[in-house]
Amino acid sequence: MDLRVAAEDLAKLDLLENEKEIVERFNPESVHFHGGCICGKQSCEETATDWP
Amino acid sequence: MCDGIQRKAVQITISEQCNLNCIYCYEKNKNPEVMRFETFRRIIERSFEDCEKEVEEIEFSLHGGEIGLFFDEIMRFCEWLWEKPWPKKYVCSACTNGTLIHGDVQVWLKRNAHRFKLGLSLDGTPEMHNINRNDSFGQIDVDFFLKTWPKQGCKMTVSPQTLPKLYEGVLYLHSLGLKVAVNLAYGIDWTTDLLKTYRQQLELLVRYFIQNPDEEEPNLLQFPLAVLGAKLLCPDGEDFKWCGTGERMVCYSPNGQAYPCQMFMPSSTGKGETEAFRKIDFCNYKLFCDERCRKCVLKGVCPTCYGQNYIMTGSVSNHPEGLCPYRKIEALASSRLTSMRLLDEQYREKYKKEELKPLIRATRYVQESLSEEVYSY
Repeated sequence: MDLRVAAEDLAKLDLLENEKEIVERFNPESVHFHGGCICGKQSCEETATDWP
Repeated sequence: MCDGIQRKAVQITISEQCNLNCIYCYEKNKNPEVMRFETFRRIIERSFEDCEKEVEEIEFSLHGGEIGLFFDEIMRFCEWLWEKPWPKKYVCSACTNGTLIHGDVQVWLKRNAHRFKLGLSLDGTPEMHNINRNDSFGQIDVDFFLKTWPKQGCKMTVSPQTLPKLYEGVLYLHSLGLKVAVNLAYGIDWTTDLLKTYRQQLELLVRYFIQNPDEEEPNLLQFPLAVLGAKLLCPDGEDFKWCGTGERMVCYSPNGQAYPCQMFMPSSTGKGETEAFRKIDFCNYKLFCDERCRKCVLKGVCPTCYGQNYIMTGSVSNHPEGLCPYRKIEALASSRLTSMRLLDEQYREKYKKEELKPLIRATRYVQESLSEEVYSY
């Protein structure tokens, strides 16, 4: 599998991008993890529950 | 990762002792001290007392060294914690090499699985794992982890020795039913010798995840294209940090000393460290931006470990350049996978509306800017 996208698909993406409006200002905080560690230690994947 | 939850991460190093000596371990200066109960109690109480208002929950992450060596202490500490009422929600977690998680420890963990989450380091196939982690695969009860914490998954660290088998390793862990978080080992001098091999491994992975759209790809194929797109569409956007080091993250050594995260502890920074990092304002994100990255195609959106930067270059912002071409391969591979998904109408609907335009922009941009370079490796 070549990692390069074919020219015709890039053209389709170009068209698609022009169709899309910026719905609201995109906030990078919404996709990057700011709370814990990204590297050395594994974070807990589950949220705290309501116990005890 | 818990999207949208305001979480504080409190790392508590029970001891730096470990029963393995993994080939990429960054803790080169281990101290044999073990945390006393009084120290643990003070850390817990202080964490709740000093917790910012907006924090919704605290993750107490107990770690080592290897926590399996100190499970008597951990059981005693946690049972004290669980007996008392606290003003915020919290969860206890730890990560382990798994070799000592057997017998009574498993019984205790099963009983408390709802309030103690244990993550496993597993570096791919048994052969890969044994290369990295002292022939220890056979000592791990993988099935126990799978059944007890099915959502937790495992952490797979890739060393130069195991990189040529990356694809095989990810698929092996998938076949066991494990979600995989993969990272190239930090603190390694990554040279250019393996770039072509890395690209070939990611080509195989991209093919697999295009053919199996219902399976979740590992984080290596989740380069933050939407963040890059946002930077392209809005170049004056604010700087940001990739992790909570020194802010929403704090790490306590066995004697109760606080550090921004485990990478700044003497076990990682080494002997003779002057702790110059204590003068850094961890809330000033400008200090964490590498000026070289502003001129890069990827505009500095590559996840980076500030602690490792500090260890390797003396500055939290200056990352070792050896990893840069590896990140470019990840970006190109991610854009390839994303392009297929964007062009599939059904799949496209799974993205957040506000994410779409930045994502498309970055996908095209990465393809146009990096294809030639990545295929010159």
